[in-house]
Parts: sequence; structure tokens; C-alpha cells
Amino acid sequence: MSPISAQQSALNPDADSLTPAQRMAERAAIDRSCRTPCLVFFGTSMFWLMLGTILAIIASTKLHTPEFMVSLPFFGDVGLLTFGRIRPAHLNTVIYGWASTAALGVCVWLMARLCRVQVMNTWILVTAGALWNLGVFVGMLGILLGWSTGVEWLEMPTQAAFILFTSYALMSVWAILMFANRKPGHIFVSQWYIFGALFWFPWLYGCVQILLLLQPVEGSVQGIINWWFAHNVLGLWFTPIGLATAYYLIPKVTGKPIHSYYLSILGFWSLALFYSWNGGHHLVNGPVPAWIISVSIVASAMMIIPVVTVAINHHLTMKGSFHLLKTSPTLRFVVFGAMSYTLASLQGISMAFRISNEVTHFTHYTIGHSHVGMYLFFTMMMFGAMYYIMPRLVGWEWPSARLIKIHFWCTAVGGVVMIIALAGGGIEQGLKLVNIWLKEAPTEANPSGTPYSFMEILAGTLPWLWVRTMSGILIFIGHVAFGINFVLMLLRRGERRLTPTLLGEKSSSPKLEAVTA
Amino acid sequence: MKLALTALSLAYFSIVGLCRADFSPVEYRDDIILTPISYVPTMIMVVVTLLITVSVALALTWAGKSGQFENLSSSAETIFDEGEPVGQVTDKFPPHKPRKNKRRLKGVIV
Repeated sequence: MSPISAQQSALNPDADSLTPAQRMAERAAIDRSCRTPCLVFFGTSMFWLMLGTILAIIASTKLHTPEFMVSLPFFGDVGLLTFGRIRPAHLNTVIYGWASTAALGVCVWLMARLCRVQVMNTWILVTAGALWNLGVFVGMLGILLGWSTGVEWLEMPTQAAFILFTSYALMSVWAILMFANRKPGHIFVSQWYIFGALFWFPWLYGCVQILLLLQPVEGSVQGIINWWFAHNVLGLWFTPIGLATAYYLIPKVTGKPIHSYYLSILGFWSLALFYSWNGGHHLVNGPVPAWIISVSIVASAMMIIPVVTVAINHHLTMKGSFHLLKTSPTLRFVVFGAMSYTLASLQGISMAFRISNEVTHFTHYTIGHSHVGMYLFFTMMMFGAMYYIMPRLVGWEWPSARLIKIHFWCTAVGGVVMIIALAGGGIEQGLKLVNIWLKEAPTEANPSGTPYSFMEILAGTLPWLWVRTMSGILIFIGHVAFGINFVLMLLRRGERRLTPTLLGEKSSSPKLEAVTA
Repeated sequence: MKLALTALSLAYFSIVGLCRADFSPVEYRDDIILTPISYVPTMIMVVVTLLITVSVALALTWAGKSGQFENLSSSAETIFDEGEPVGQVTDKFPPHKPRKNKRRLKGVIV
């Protein structure tokens, strides 16, 4: 028997008849076993979050003030500061550096909690974490040095992709080992989501790497595969992990079971069946077979099933507990993220149809939609999860409630303002580009009216882009507040409280302290 | 049997995809030979999508057989236990630090 198994057996002699103190001791031991790998993932994700936000502000500023940061003192004009490199560097930093790294940390903790076993093979996770960060670093460097592949969402050079894939494969192997060694019993819906994400993404990533970078396909097929990946990375990687987090944390924090477990199961399986057919709707009116676009639009419309089931379930679970949003930092972020998931998904479905796609695609509206999904939904969900998990990992509470509130309000307000700016600017841009919004209305002398010139349309977006940059700065302030709180927590600053609040009053019981000491 | 059917269907789609793809160069002009775009990669993408869908179907079958869909109402409570029972809120803001009233303190000292 392995030392961990022996320890678990000693800790958990009879799983069905444990006392509350034993249950808490078991949970504390599981949390403690996650500490090293989770801190590797969370700590490094914080670094990429800060870097990604700075890159975002630079890229956003360059859109309305192109002369901003063109050259560096003593160095003159520097290629890496051009928009064409800064923008993909931002995208890849936040997608692979921040969001994916934080997601892996949350996956580790949730898997351990839901399998009810201590983390095994920690070395696999630490190696995977180190490789993942190395891959992101190499990729970032490659993009900034001008070696971008030019394929959206996959700009990192192939060398970096290989490192990332190896890391991801290690994570999947670890997940399979954990799942195989789980304690017998029901598989909670969050586990389905996590296992699905860890299982599908390597297929997707590996397949696309081969088709686009190792044996590149030609012509418009590149577009099909590119958008299939870009959309599925959201649906088969980020969405399952975000929803797994919400399905665990909302009931856990409120102390109420999920309103309808049946709906949650239906939501998972319908997401799994329909999402992988999405992506082609980004190519409406493009030079690709019409059936690919139509299949994708149908699949997008079918997504209404998982979205509505999740929305109903989360809302009805929260019903009667909304007052807890005032007192729980985790719930604030997670519920905000869950509501944003509904918004992002319904917006995405509406954008898939040909009639709306012709106006909104290739405008800032699409960028706004990406930010609803990746920031307001996923990033807020990860923030919420980290607020819940971190105190349980390090046995120390968040040092400052004020910094948590600054973090929430800056990111929430900043995020919403950004979405409004991008949506407003995008609709104006789209309507002008397809000549629905005309400079001069049709007259008898000029029956088709006078359309805006391209430069006039571009100039019309400038106020929206300024608002976007301002909102980005607000978001950055929020991230700095989070970063300070995070570092202070790791340094164990602040007062150790006799009756912990985040950890639950019961955790201060002498029995637990004796076990966890 | 199911695995065999799955493998057969995948093989069928792969073969159909490969057979329908046109690899032969087409001459449009004497001096330029254009190679039509091959849709083999698209078919690979479709096959991977099908594999994902099939894996979902297999997992769904396994879940059904292993009793994962029984007693769904009680399954929602599996994340609760005696240590953190239903009804217990497990997250709160940390309390604000009690502020020292420096002015009054100074006054006392003075």
C-alpha cells in the first residue's frame, strides 16, 4: 500500500460512518495535498495575468493612438512594440498563461475534492506546471520576436506548442489516474465537466497543430480549421471548467444543493454533443462549403439547450440566497461569472445566424463577445474559485476585505464598460460597413444614398476605443489589488484570526487543528 | 460489438472522405498548373469531431450502466457531508481590521 493510501485509510477507516471532525480532517488533508501543485499554477497564472493586462492596455492604446510606444529610449524603433506583435502576445498570454494555468490549478483542486482522495503523483503536476509555463514563455518570446505563426489563437511557434502539448498530456494522464483511484460513489456533475475538458482538449489541440502548423493545409481550409479550434477551445476547454467551478462553488458556498441535478446532467451531455460542431459560423459568406457553415449554425442554435439549463439551474439555486452576495467574495465573482455565461452564450447564438453575422463579424462586436466569454465569464469564475481555494491551501485568510472589494468592483465595472464600448462601436462599425447606416439618406437624385468611406468608419470607432482603454486601466487596477492581496496572503501578512471566516467557523475546532497541525 | 461498429463507422467516414478528395492537378492554362484544394484535412477534422461525439456517446452509455443517473435528487447532495452539511454557508469576507482611533489616542496620551 502506498504511503498516501495508508494515510487515507488511517484517516478514513469507514467512509460511510465518519464523524464531522473526521470529515473535516479528511477534507483538510485533501486540500493540503493540493498545496504545491495548485500554488505553482496559481502563482504563475498571477504573473501572466499582470503581464497580459499590461500588453492589453498597450495594444488597446495603439488602436486609437498609433504613435504610442513606437520606440524605446536608447533603442529607437523596436519591432516587438508593433501592434501586430503586442496584440497576439496579449491574447496568448491571457489565454494560455493566465486562464489555462489558473484553470489547471482549479482542476487539480476540484478533482481531488470530488474524487475524495489526496493528490497522487504530485511530481506529474509540478512537471506539467513547469513545462506549461516554459511553453508559454517560449511562445511569448517567439511572438514578440516576430516568429508568430499568424494563425489566430495559435500564434505561438510550433516549438512552444510541442512543450504545451506535452504538459497537457501529463495533466490528462494525471486526471485519468485520479479518476481511476477515486472513492466509489456518484460522479458529481463538475467531475464530468473537468474530465471532459481534460480529455477533449489534447485531441483538439493536437489535431489542429498537425493540420495548421506541422503539415499545413492550403487555402480556405485553413480558415475552417482555425475557427473550429478557436471556437472549440472556448467550448471544450474553458466552458466546461468554468461551469464545473460554478456547479461546485454555488451550492457549496450557499449550503444549498443544485436546484435540479437532472438539468445539470442534461446541460453537460448536450454541451458535449453539440459544441464540437461549432466554429464554421465565423466563415459566413466565406469561400468555404456552405454545409460547413450551416452545420455550425445549427449546432450554435442547439447550444440553447445547455445554456438555458445552466442558467435556470444557477438562478434557481441562488434564489433566496442572493443576500449572500454581500458577504461572500467567492459567490460575488462566481455568480457574476455565471450570469455572464448566459449572456455570452445567448449573444454567441444570436451572432451565429447569417443575418446578424453579416453585420457584426469582422467588427469590434466580435472582440466584445470574446471578452464577455473569456473575461466576464471565465476570468471572473477563476477569481471566485481562487478566493475560495487559496485560504484552504495555505491555511491563512485573505489579508484585506477592502482589496477584494476593489478587485471586484474595478473588474466588474471595467469589464461591463468594455463590453458596452466594444458592442456599441462594433454595431456602428458593422452597420456602416454594410451600408445600412448611411452618411446621406437616399434621395431621388441619389437613390442608393452616400455610404461612409472606410476612413470615416474607422474614425467613428475612435471614441469607443478610448472608452475601451479607460476600462482596461480600471480592470488593471482591480488586478493589482488582487495581486497585492495574493502576495500578502502568501507572505502570511495580516492578523491570524481566532475564528476564521473564510474557512468556516467549525474549522477552528480544536479537533481539526490537532489533525491539520 | 459497439466498439466494432464505432470503428467501422469511423473507417467508413475516413474512406469516403479520402475517396471524395480530388488530388489530381487540373490544367487551366498551359503555363500554370493549379492544384485544387484538398478537403482531406476537413475530413480529418470531421472525423475528430465524430470521435469526440462517439467518446461522449460511449461515456454516456457507461454512465447509464453504472447507475450514475439513478437517484438524481440525492446525487446533488454528494458534495455535502457531516463536516459541511446542507445549510452551512462556507464563505465570508474577512472582517475589516478594527481601526484605532489615533486622534483620541493622541488626546489621551497628550
